[in-house]
This record gives sequence, C-alpha cells and structure tokens, in this order.
Amino acid sequence: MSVSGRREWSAITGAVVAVAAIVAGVGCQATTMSAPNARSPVLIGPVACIGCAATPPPAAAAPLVDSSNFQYMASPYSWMYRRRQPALAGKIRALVADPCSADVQVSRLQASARGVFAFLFAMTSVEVEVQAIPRLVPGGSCYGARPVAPVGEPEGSFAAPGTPPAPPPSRPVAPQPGPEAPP
Amino acid sequence: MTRTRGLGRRLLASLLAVAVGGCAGASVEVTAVRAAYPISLSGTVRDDHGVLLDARSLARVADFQVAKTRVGLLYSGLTPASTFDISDEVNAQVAAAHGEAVVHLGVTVTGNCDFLNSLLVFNMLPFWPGCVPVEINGLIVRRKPPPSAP
Repeated sequence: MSVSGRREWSAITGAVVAVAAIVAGVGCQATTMSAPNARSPVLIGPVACIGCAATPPPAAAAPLVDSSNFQYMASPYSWMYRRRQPALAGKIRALVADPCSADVQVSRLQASARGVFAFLFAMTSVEVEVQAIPRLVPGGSCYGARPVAPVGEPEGSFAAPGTPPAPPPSRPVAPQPGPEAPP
Repeated sequence: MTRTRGLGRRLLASLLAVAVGGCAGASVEVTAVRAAYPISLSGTVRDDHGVLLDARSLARVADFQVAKTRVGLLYSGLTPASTFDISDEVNAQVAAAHGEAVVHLGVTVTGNCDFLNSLLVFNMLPFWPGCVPVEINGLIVRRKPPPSAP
C-alpha cells in the first residue's frame, strides 16, 4: 500500500473511531431546563394562576435569558464533554426582588440537538434555551409568610400520589425580614 | 514562493475540512398557547387571589409526561413542524388526574438522535434528516383542602 493510501485509511479509521466514540456516548448525554429552586412561579402558557382565565403574554423584550446544554466532542486521539447546568433560579432571584408580588413569564423555550463532523473531529450537542420576562402581580401575596428556600435546596417536596398528608409543622413559619420586605 | 505555497496548501486543507464535514440536527420551540391550566417551571403557582402556593399548600396528584421527536433537514437549518405545543397533553392529563396546575416542569433534550445527527458522510447531504428528542416532565398538583378546625 502506498503512503497516500495508508493516510487515507488512517483518516477513515480515525473518523470511524470518532463517530464510534459519539455513539458510545449516546444515552449518557441529556440536558434539562427547569427552575425547581425559583421562589416565584415561572409560567409557560397563557394561564397565570389556578382558576384564572387565559391572558395574552406580555409583549416586551425578554431580559432574562438562560440555557442548559451538553456537548460531547471526540476525535481519534481524545474526547471530552462539557455540561452547563441551568442557572435560571439564580437569575430570577437577582431580577425579582419580591417573589410574593411578581411572576416570571416564559416568552420562548427552545430545544435543539445537533451533530457535526469535519474530517476526524465529531461533536454532538443538546441544548435548551429559555427567555423570560418578570411581571408584577397586582395584589400578589405570600399569606404573610414568604417562601424561603436556601440556595440549592428545593422548598418542600411533593409526596407521591396516594401518600397521606404530612403533619403540619410544629412551629409556624414567620415572615422573613430583610431587604425584600415591603415598606 | 515556498511560503505562499505552504499558505495555499493550508487554505486548501481548511476548505477541504469544511467541505468534507457535515452537520445535522433540529430545533423546536416548546409552547403551551392553548393550555387551560397554569404551568410552572418552578415549584410554585398562584391561586386566583394572587396567593403564592408551594409544596406546603399543593398536593401532588399525578405525574405529567410527554415526549416527542422532531425531524430537521438542511444541516439542521429547517425543522418542519418546529413548534411543540403541549397544550393538549396538559389539558388532557390534568383533567384526567383532577388536578389544577402543573409545577416543576422540566424540558429535557436527550442524546437519542446523536447517531443520526452525527452519521459520518451521510450528514454531508442536505436532505439527510437530523432530529431532536424532547421529553417534558412535571407534577400535576391541586390545592390541599384547608385544615379543619379542631
């Protein structure tokens, strides 16, 4: 076999190895967009509350943009992945001072998946991007007790269907004083 | 002269690399324009008086789940049916579970289309299909009844 023939074979083999590495990674990669730790409702759709009628979404530029993605890159010589977790809850916390009187309306939620290869390099990526707008809720309240969720911990948990209700807390939840408190 | 030739070779190699490469995939916009119930990505939702409700005042009655895959063409540039409206699924599943809202909604894109999207040589073709698999999960909840007086 000539030198150029060997090079071609090694290029083809390398490309096949890169794709095989991608295929081996299938199933391991996924990305999710959610906001479990956000204190205010992050609404998608026209209904803003339980029992409310549908209202048109606010027409304004979305100041809140966030994305989560997972990228997997492979070549015959190496492979690597990069994961970006959503930071939506933190961004909402920074933008919405008082979750009791403001909601966040999702204006765009885009999901995409792509695969690219060029010679010996292959890459796949999955991504979810969200754009949202905070909006004030006239008369919105927290019943005097603000929802307090430490960073990184979901506030309370939902029991599985059919499980008996949890006993009420022994101590009432007191209103939290702080910079978010209304004057 | 030699330097120019070297630069030309590099340029040619770069052009070949781009030309020999391929790309496939799809993108989809998730909407709920006809939903009859509130849907929240967080664990909170309001009642009709504007009161914020969370896990302390909401009971989980069922899980919400829907999954769809959309196909894209032209190197992921064109996705026919590029909107994924979950309204019908939300309305049907929430009504069936006698729920009042969906909370903790999560939109997941999995890697199930990686083989198709990255298939060597074939995804050089503009009509080679790519796809995006989308899974949407959440909790269907309803308000807990107020505690009865002792």
